[in-house]
Amino acid sequence: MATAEHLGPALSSVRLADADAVQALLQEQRARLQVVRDHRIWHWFGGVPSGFGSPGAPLQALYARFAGFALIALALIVAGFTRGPVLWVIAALAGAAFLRAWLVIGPPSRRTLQLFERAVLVPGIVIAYEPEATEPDNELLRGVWALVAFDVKSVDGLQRLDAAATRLRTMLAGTGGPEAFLQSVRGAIAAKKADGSRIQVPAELGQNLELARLRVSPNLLPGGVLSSRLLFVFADPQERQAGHSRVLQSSLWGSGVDDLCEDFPLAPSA
Amino acid sequence: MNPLEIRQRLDELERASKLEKALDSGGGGAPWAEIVWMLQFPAIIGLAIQVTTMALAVKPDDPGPPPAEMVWSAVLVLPVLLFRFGWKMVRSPRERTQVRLRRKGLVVLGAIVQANDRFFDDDNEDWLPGSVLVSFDPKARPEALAAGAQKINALKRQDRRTLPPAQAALAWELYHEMGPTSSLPVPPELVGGLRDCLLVSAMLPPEPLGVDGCFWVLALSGERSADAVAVLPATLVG
Repeated sequence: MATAEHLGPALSSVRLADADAVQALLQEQRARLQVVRDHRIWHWFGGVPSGFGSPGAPLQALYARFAGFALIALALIVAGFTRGPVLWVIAALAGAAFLRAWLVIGPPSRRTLQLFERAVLVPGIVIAYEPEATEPDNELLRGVWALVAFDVKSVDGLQRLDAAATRLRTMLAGTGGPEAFLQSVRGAIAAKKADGSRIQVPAELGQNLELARLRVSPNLLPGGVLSSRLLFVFADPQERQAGHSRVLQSSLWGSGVDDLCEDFPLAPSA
Repeated sequence: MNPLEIRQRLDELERASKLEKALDSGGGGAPWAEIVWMLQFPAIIGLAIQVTTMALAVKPDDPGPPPAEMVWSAVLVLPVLLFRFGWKMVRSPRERTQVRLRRKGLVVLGAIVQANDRFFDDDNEDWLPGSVLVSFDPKARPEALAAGAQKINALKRQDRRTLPPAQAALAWELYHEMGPTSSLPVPPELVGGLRDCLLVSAMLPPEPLGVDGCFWVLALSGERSADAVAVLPATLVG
């Protein structure tokens, strides 16, 4: 354990009114991420690779490796008969199969690990969502758009973020604000653009705010459904491109977080 | 059964290549090392074909097989040797630890500190994660270990800022409930003075091989990896 972040109270319920508990929760979140990193138990972050490249890449790589071994076996037998082109073609195919396996899985794994090492958990306030995300029987990934801030360290910060999200929701409904930005957000919501990317929010809405365009699996959320406007986003502070912001399973959000989420009931989607 | 008898039984199973499956809690990767080992057979077939073809091609007047054929035969011996003796190098560090555990692991007592709730269901048939107190101390007795496990479990609900560092680490390990993680040393004062105790993150079989409220664990002394511990299932002696 490289840090002392794990030295905190045992939380069972965290309420917005309890500033110390909220602060302890944020500290616990950092400690939980550190546990995953220290022990390289990446399945807690969704596994490697995830979110980059094709979702079927691990299976493709597995098949390619099996094909590579089968071709090596064939080449070894053929080598008893000939040293001619047939042998070298089979050997080249075996090499190509292993290369294919590496190409399919290597770069996405590297990008995933880079994200896992750098990303932090930041609070987000939902401003818009696909209506199906609130249905209890929904099992699919749904688009959720949330305002996030990397500098929230306390209840005050959380409330400022919530107030900014309310302002943004009002502006999106059609009253004032930076029109170009609002148009792009309205467009993204209408087009269901939710690719794990983030965009900078104009300063008039608040300092250091970003809008995360998330694709959320309901079983990761407390209660298995989107019922709170508060969620925690695993986001890479150095990279806003697609796939660099995602929602992790709520057990990583910390103990007692369900009650805090209850204090932020879901508002109508913008 | 005492630890010695259990170890003998494990040795029998390992010799029969059955222990790995008996301890498998699922989730392992593809057996690449075994696949590499199997490649020796096509290599032997290829070599045999080459030698046979070479022998059949030799005429009575020839002083011997052509040198090129001899060289090629020698080349084909290389993969046979490589796959026959080099396959172990393909094993992942996890697989190496597990092999060492099966062959050199000690049979020691363990007690549940906490486990997935489903473990306690009567109809549970799955291997489930849990935290286990393991003692390498020969003086360890089931009652003392079970009492120690309860004491450690109570740390989970305490404020970690008020605990000594070693106990705070144990409390955090139980509190975050994420695994598998490396084993943590348990201070003797928590386990009635027993030495060499560890809190380990392990998969629990549906029915562990038990003794007086505790159960038998196969563990490598001096290793902290989560792979260096396996809770023995009752089916091993069935």
